[in-house]
Parts: sequence; structure tokens; C-alpha cells
Amino acid sequence: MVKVKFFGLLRLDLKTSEKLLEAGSVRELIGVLAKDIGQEPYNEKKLKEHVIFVNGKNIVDLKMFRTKLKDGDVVSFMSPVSGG
Amino acid sequence: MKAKELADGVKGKSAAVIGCGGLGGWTAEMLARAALRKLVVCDGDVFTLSNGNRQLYCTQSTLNRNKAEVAAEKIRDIGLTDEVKAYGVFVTKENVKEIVEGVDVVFDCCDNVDTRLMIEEYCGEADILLVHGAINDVYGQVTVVYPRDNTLKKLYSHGAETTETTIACVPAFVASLQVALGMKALCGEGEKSLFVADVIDGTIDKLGE
Repeated sequence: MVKVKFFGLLRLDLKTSEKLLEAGSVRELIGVLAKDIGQEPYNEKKLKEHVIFVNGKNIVDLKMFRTKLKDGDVVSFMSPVSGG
Repeated sequence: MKAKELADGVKGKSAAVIGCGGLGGWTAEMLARAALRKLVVCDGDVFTLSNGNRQLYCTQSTLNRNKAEVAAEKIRDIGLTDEVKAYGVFVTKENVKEIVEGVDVVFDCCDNVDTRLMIEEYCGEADILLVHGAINDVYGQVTVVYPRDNTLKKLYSHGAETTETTIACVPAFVASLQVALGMKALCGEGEKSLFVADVIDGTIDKLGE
């Protein structure tokens, strides 16, 4: 199982800070998560627009959505903000 | 690090606060009490009634006045900063050099992604430390950006989320974190994590390095 952590608006909307899900890659996790959430606007496209960290590393610096996942990995979804 | 080490470590340093609204007002106030050598404040906006719920320097007497000018007055009144300079204009690609030239650190307290990215690019070219802060609703993010790390470019690759409003405790909380990390970085103890603060949950999570 992969621990999925939520930050920002996603966390407020889902009213939870984390979930445990089964997935072998970030791409697969996004599909599983979208189904698990089952509410708009959090479809796969929207989830892909989040900043995603795997074990503390931004997937931009890994293999993006092709990044592999294994049991115990922690994946964080964060929606950046810009108010001041 | 202990408070005394931080207070001693920033003596003689200079900083610029870009944006003097919600985050910037609280950030300027805390930096004013850190007794820096020089503090630059910059904002082209004026205080309006709608700012009153969250912006420290928005009061009945400052309505319709320029935010940077008001912040500079408050900082001078606190009286611990040797030199205070106000720029009552919005920062642009054309004037950013003049505004931040010579400072040790820039505090990004802006309210839009384009300006933030422009500041990051300039600070990268000019080799200036940047401390980024941003808020929305009941949460916010802070990170220290080292020259040419392009942290904000990566962070904002898909834009940013916004909801309708925030409350005063959010910019105050996030500004505290921004100033603390900025002071630590000025003392040579900076780190590159992205700090995400949820004010209502009372949590601060570190993401990234």
C-alpha cells in the first residue's frame, strides 16, 4: 500500500489528510485516487495539475507520472497557492 | 538555532519585502523588529476597506494610502532599522534591479504567479537569496529559494489554486514561518524544503529536500 497525503485545497475539500491506496506508479495512483475520490473537480486531469512528491522528491525531478511506486512509499499531492 | 543566534546573525543585514498586503505587512513588521541595517518595502497598491480583515497596516487612518509608504512609516516608528526605503510602485522586470539591488535577501509576499516568477528569475541572475511565501484560505506555503534553483518555476508549472478569502491569522502564521526561515537562511542555516502550513489544523509539513 502507498500512503497518499493531501495538502491545501484538496485536503480541505476531501476533509481528510491521507489515504492508503494500492498502485505501482504515479500514473496508476492518479487513476485509483480519482476513482476513490469520485467527486468533481478531482478527476485525473485535475489531480495531474497538483505538485506531486514521492518520498519527499518532486516527480519533476524523478520520472514524472512514470515514477514507480512500492509498498510503504509516501506520495504527497499539493496544490500551490499564490495569495499574499 | 536559538533566538539569540538568529538575532545576532542578522545584524548588519538588509532585506526587501515585495508586496505589503497580508503577508508582506506582517513580514515587514517582524523584520522591523529584527533590527536589520536596511529594509526596503515595495507595493504599488493602496489600502481599501476589503483589506481590513487580514492586512496588519490597514486601518481607518491608512485607507487609500500606499501600502509601502505606510509600512515604511511603521518600520521607522519601531525605530530599530538604520535605513528604510519605500517604493510605492508595483515591481516589474524594468524596476526590480533598482528595488532589490544590494540587499541580502528578498521576501516574496506578492499576490500573483507572474510577478513571483519574474522575481525568482531576477534573484537567480543577481545571486540574491529569496524567501517565498504564499497563502490561500486557511493554509500557506513557504520555501527558501537559492539562486538558479528555479523552485517556483517547478512549483507553479500548473498555476495556483485560489478560493474567495482568508482570515488574519493565516498571513500572520505564514509570515512568521517566512521570517523565521529567512533569518535562519541569513545565518547560513537555510534549507530547501517546501513548508506547507495548515493554520486551522495547526500543522506544518515539510515537503521536498
